Amino acid sequence: MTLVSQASYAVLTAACELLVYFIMGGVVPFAARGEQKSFAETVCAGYIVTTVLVEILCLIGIRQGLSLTLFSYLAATVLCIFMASSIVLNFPSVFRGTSAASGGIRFSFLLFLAFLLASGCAFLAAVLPSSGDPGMTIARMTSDLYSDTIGLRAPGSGRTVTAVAVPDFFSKYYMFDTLVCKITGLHPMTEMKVVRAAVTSILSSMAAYRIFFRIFDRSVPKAACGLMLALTAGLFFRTPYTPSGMLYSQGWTGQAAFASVLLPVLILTVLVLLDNPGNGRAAALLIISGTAAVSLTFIGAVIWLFAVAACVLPVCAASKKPVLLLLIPASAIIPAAVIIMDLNLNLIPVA
Amino acid sequence: MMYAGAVLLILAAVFGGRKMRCAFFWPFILLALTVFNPYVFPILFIEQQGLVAQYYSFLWAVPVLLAASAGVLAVAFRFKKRWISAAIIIASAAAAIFFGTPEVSSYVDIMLPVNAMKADAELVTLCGYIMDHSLSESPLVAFERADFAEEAMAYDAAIRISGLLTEEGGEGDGGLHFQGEDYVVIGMGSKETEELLKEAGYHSIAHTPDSRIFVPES
Repeated sequence: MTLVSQASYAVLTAACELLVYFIMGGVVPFAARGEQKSFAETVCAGYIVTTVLVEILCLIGIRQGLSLTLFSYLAATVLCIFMASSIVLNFPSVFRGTSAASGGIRFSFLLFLAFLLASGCAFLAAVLPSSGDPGMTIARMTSDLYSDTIGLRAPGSGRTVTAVAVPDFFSKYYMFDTLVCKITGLHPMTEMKVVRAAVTSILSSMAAYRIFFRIFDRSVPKAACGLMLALTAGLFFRTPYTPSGMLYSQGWTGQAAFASVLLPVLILTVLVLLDNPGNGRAAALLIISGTAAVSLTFIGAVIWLFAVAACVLPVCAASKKPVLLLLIPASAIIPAAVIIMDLNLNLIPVA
Repeated sequence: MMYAGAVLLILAAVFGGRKMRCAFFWPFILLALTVFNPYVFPILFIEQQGLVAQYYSFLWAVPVLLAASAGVLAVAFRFKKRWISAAIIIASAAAAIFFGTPEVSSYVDIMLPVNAMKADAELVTLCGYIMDHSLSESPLVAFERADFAEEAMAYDAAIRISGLLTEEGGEGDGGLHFQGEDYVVIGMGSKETEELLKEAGYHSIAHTPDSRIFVPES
């Protein structure tokens, strides 16, 4: 395949992934019953649901000793069932009800914003030189695809793995991408360095837009200005202390997704709860986001404990709903369990 | 930049509404009192977990860029005249562009990738030759360049990577401790390593502009 055809295939894969997230977002959407759904919020919710679902299926697959092929069939079947359920539950509002109106903003500014977003994605996907694979995520994917196993072949040496460290056992966010590679035939390097990096960037921008949209009283022009400023600052401030540093150097890693997508989605969720403290769907999303944090990166499990408490406590105080405090332990229980497991166990047997 | 972000965070709290305070200001205060508090830090399990080197990651929980953008907008939209609001926003964007450390300038030579995997073209050539030439399904290959070894693991799982040419493989005594490597890839200028390989019975069979491939005589 030529470079252009490979790139086109990668773009198509990215679009399909976003579509999958959009449909999966209908399972646990941000919007409460009767509320108009947002495309961006639905995609972000779908990303979390998909990550958690694949994580659970992967852990089952490892414990049952499934081959990668069998796991792919299982995961694809389960995802299709969930997507079908989402379409049935949300039809016809899944396409009609999502708000895509520009609402009082100049088309030229929207075009500028789209250009800024597209240039960020293009920079990530096309121009940015290789920055290695320090976490050996891509190497693990390649090894799994070669050996048709899930984490049983060590990358590099090719030896059979009999036990893994707790962080490596639970951080399995890349299994969705392995599944995509298995189905589409894309090379893991293309999937991660091109598709995943661009999709993470798009998700990050969607979450940021919706945060500004909710903060500035659902004003589209103000939200668009906020997104423009955030994108500009992200592109022009490269530090390890801001998520943009990780996003624009290793955008395919779990750490980049955690910092750029999951943490902003946490803020978005608390804003949704601030608007409507009785929104059970947003609460459910917050609870399962803890598992998504574990799946993305082990350090995310540790950070999540503090971040969710720091974000939920002000909402409880502002909305005067102490019952929201229960969201903190509910969301933190899985990350806390994984951390305790890591403190007590050295390795988890996998074979 | 962090100080500027903190100032803008405070602006967001003062000029922003309840939502901005709940989203940015109060979480920052709570994190400052706990995770970023040097008196509380020792009683957390961060040291026991061996996460001190990754402690900087906790700063991601503070959405500095989002809060800074929100703070700027909160100030800008307080003015009724649109041109003043626009000027403040444009000035902030310009400040970010001129005073930041852009991703673009951090790479001296920006090149379009030659393949969709964004893999080094030379590595792709080397791995392709090795897999075409090898009689083994999974040859053991030693790379002199550590980045090639890392990328080869991601590019082709059939290639097993040897630590022969790393400090570990050499064990610091200047010699090479072979483990039955099927191929050894060294740079064009590595004369000392080439001598050691020839003494061990390896000979060159192919080369790229920057690398040579050695195989054992047998």
